[in-house]
Amino acid sequence: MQWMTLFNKEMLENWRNKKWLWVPLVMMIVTIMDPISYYFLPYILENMGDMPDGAILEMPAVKAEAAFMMSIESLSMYGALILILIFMGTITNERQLGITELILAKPIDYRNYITAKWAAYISLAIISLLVSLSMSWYYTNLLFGSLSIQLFILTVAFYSVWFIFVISLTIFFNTFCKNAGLVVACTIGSLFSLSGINAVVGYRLTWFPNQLAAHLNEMLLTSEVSGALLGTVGIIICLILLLLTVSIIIFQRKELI
Amino acid sequence: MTIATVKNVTKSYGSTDVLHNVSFSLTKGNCIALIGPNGAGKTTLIRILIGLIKPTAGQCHFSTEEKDIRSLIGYLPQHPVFHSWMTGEEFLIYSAKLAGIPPKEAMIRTNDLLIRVGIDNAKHKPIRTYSGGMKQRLGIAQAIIHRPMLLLLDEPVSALDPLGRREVLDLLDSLKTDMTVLFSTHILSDADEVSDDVIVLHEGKVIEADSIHTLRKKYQTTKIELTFDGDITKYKNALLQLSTVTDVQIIRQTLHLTVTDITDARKEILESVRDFAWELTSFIINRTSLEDLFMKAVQQ
Repeated sequence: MQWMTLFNKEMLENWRNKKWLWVPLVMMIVTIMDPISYYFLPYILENMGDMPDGAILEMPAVKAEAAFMMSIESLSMYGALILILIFMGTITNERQLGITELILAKPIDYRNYITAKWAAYISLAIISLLVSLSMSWYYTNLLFGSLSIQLFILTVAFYSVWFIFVISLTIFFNTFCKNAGLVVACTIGSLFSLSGINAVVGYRLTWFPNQLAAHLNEMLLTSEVSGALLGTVGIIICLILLLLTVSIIIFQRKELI
Repeated sequence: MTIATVKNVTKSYGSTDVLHNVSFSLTKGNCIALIGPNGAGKTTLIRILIGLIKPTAGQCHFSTEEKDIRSLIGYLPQHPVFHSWMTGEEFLIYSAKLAGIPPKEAMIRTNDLLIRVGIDNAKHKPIRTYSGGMKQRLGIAQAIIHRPMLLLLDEPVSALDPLGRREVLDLLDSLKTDMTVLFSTHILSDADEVSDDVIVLHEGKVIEADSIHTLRKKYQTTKIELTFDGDITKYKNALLQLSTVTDVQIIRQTLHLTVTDITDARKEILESVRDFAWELTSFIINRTSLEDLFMKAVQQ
């Protein structure tokens, strides 16, 4: 019951400060921008550019899977950034303002406090992901050819895990960073390090978290869920559980004011 | 009945001791004032009691079976901050539910408390529109909504205007019957008004912890002030003859007597007044105010 109270508070707060409106909206724009602008690129160039008469512009034909993948790639970058920015101060800001002092004087289980926040933001993130990828799927079918609904659902499901990982990383830094700016710096720093490691040795580490996009791409092309994809998702889920546990332990040990 | 014992609590940040070997106990149903100048360690001590920070050494023991002592304590920080987007009513219901009170009961208690602390008419407005006094009252309401046995208030009236201070002090006075109240203050008249016991904290050390009554007696000065009609030098010599009077000084037409014992001296002086028909106009036993008491305790 206490968990629900904390969860409802987060949901209500995100509703009142309109995050439930703008986060899905911004994420949708980010997601559909790439495939749509790619589709219309020849027309744009024709009308805007100083192309010499008679110039023929041949864009390589893009398949539905590749167009859908463009959306995923934009989400990896901007989607993750939006998540970090909306979640950056969830604990640090409350602590800095002094709300934590009042709230944690109540008999609150720290596990509830952390996981309720985590779950509330995951709801927001996954709904936004669903809305934006649905939009992208619609345009993909309209402009680039058909993509099966099974593949669409699988992509959303597997990619959600990556979003949950980003949120878990942000809440982990929230438990000990003194201000929200530091949380953003640490989270983005960690994500960059991960992708750096991926760029150097990723080809040898099939289950490395950042290989998820590559595996999803493969799934879209072959219409098959590979063992490598499941392995990677498994590793990410383990990391999420680890981050959550460590966050709760840090939060319990730390003096909060 | 003792509800809490603080034993040899020390809190250090680096090499400085904010609290040094603090010990005292809290008795059920009393109102205790924690007094001390700014920086004496009052806030730190209160935060240790509620468990928000941990002592470097020593411990707080509560006489209860309850595992999470926070459910038995109500707490109002010095500068309470609320979720400003919530309404007063929402915040109280939220606080009640966090303390494990079922939704229906939470509603009932919220409405009762909103009336009791006098912010009933603003209950549907967001907290960001509340004045300082209203926030303080909301703060007290959220601290007592789970009916704690111990209420900890950190400087509850220091930031309020005289009217708000009056209201909060009256509220505290009415709470004394239901729970033990411990509040910190650096304004001694507030402590004098509502508290039964005082704990004097100075530079992280407890220098006095007793009832106001006992402390008054302990620091009672043996001074009496007398004024007479007519020539007071005549009285000075007569008074010096009394066995209990050790010294008499005249300051601005008032005789300041130093005596060996207040009770004996009063008896002897008043007998002389009667027997010799002295024209006494005023008789004042110099009552130690909490302020004097505090100054003396700190200087020792």
